[in-house]
Amino acid sequence: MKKFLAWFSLSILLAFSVYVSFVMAALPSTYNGISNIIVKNTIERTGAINAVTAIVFDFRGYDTLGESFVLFTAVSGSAVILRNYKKNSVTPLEKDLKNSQKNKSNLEIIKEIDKKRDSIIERDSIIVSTANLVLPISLSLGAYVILHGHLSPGGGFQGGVLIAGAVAIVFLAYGMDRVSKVFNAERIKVYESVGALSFLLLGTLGVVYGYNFFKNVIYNQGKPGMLYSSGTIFWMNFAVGYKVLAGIGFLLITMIGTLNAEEKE
Amino acid sequence: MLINYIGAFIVMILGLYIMMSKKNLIKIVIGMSLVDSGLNLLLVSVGFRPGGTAPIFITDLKPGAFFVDPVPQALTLTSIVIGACVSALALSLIIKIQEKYGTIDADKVRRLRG
Repeated sequence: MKKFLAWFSLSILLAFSVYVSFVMAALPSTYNGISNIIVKNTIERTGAINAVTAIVFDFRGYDTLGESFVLFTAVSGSAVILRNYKKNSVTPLEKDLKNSQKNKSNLEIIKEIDKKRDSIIERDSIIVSTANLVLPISLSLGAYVILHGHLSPGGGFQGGVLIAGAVAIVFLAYGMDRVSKVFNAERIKVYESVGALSFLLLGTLGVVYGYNFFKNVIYNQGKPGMLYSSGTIFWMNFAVGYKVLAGIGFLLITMIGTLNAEEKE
Repeated sequence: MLINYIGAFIVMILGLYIMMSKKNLIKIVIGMSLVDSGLNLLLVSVGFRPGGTAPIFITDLKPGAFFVDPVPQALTLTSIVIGACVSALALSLIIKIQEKYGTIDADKVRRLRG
């Protein structure tokens, strides 16, 4: 009976949605409204040649502000929910190492862990060599996407997520020990706040110059189409990219930490 | 484009079906993100114009070329990030439920405990 009800309601929804699709296909194009004005003014008002980035960071900057705060809230919420797992993620082996670590560089510590761990964990050489190849490519692709946000498809959010994928690659290849050595989770959380604050400060620049919030006041620096152009959009890409890579990286580290704690039990 | 709308609606209805019929909490989150993806597809298709190119003013643009609508694309960008945030938060809650109840079956976690 329950299954019949589910299928019945879903089939009614399907029929209704097909009808709605026919109605929507007959509607006039949305292009003649606000988008026509925005596309016409993109180069003159912002100096960016990518209209989508111009909308995200200039015409509708408030949306991006709210979006970045949603990301901030999600990361903080996940960190609070998974807080108790953090104590478990430091393995006993690392605790022994901590006393002798004070005066050594990261590389030496990693080598030391490797020596102790080699007998315990056998790493897959295919995954390790593939990760060594993919990691620099993914990092430079992320930096490229952030840098060229106002010229080509992409921007701060996409490039930040690409760079944050490095955490997952390092975990896949080298395991949790390397992740907790290479990335300092506490400091990454601070970096995320720095990114959000710099984004807000760039938005306030409009108020300082005597216009409204999120006004692009330095848009006429540089030629449209060159790398340094489009004023605050270029810098906002950096701020948002920094914020997103720190936030998603912190989220991945927190979740990978729970995986490690469950494997031990 | 009619076929785009119908495809987006079918993806959304498949997500709804997963949310209604499955008991595994992780599968319910997958259904949620399927509904989200269908909605994103619908939003992008609303702004599509047949024959239009990506809204970027490159120098070797063909004469007579026109853009698709950039506004729904920008809003879809916002929607994708928020969908990822919702999935991450829901998955963290599921990890906590697994820790407290020992199961992620939606029928079994219903009982009240202490």
